[in-house]
Amino acid sequence: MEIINYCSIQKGEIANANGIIYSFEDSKLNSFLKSYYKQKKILYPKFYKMDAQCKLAFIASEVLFENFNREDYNDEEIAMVFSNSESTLATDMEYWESAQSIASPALFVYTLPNIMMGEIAIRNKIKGENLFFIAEDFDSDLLLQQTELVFLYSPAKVAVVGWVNYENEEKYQARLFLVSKTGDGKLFNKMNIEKLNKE
Amino acid sequence: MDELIQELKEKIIAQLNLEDIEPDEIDATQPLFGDGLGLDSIDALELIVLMERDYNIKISDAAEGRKVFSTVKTMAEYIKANS
Repeated sequence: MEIINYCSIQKGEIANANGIIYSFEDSKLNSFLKSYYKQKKILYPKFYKMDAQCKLAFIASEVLFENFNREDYNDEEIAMVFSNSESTLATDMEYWESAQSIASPALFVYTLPNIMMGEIAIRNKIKGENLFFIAEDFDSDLLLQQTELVFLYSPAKVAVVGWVNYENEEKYQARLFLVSKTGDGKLFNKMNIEKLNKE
Repeated sequence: MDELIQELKEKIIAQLNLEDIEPDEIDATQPLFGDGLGLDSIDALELIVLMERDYNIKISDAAEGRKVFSTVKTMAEYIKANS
């Protein structure tokens, strides 16, 4: 398995495999991501409707797919393996508060963490296998093992793999890898995952 | 009626997070769903919430809802007739 691209978003900075590509003076997630969205002239009005965690996953996927030849793969050949520790706790709380009067349907749809993969799938017409794990921390062994299984037992040839976690406007983190089933470039292994995580 | 239409446009933008759209860009007779504003089924549910919360109007019949939420103008007419 080979790492085709990587995206990290945290503390007001967006990085890809080549280093930091965007930073914003206000590290609060919503204003920071909105500024990137506008700067890149992304035209996807549904972005504004997403909750903060989905916005985080969405922008990370946009960075990952920037130079990716999507047309080289069938819809079923792109899989996703995600993990986080918060599930959708921030939105769950917001939804619970809204439900004290009239519950908001638009919030309700963001109260399951796999909605992140759903939003990315809709945007990129992805129909491959998708898995979501709740873990205490970023667990490279878990992600490696599950990605191997997805490549072994599904038609997937590439996968978006990683961690998207939102606690609040200041504490958030996305670490996504675009991984190819084959290739002998930068290997998708524990050493390289943890090395990129530290950068 | 014009005031109510303007108020509805502002509420729809706020409720549905249509951040790229200004009230003046919404034609009151433009379809809200499909080719018009491009709203989806979740937006339809949010409009039902808006009607109940802000105008105390409950819409429980889907066929009626389709007519009411055709355009901003049909929404305003329905509010006027039922409040």
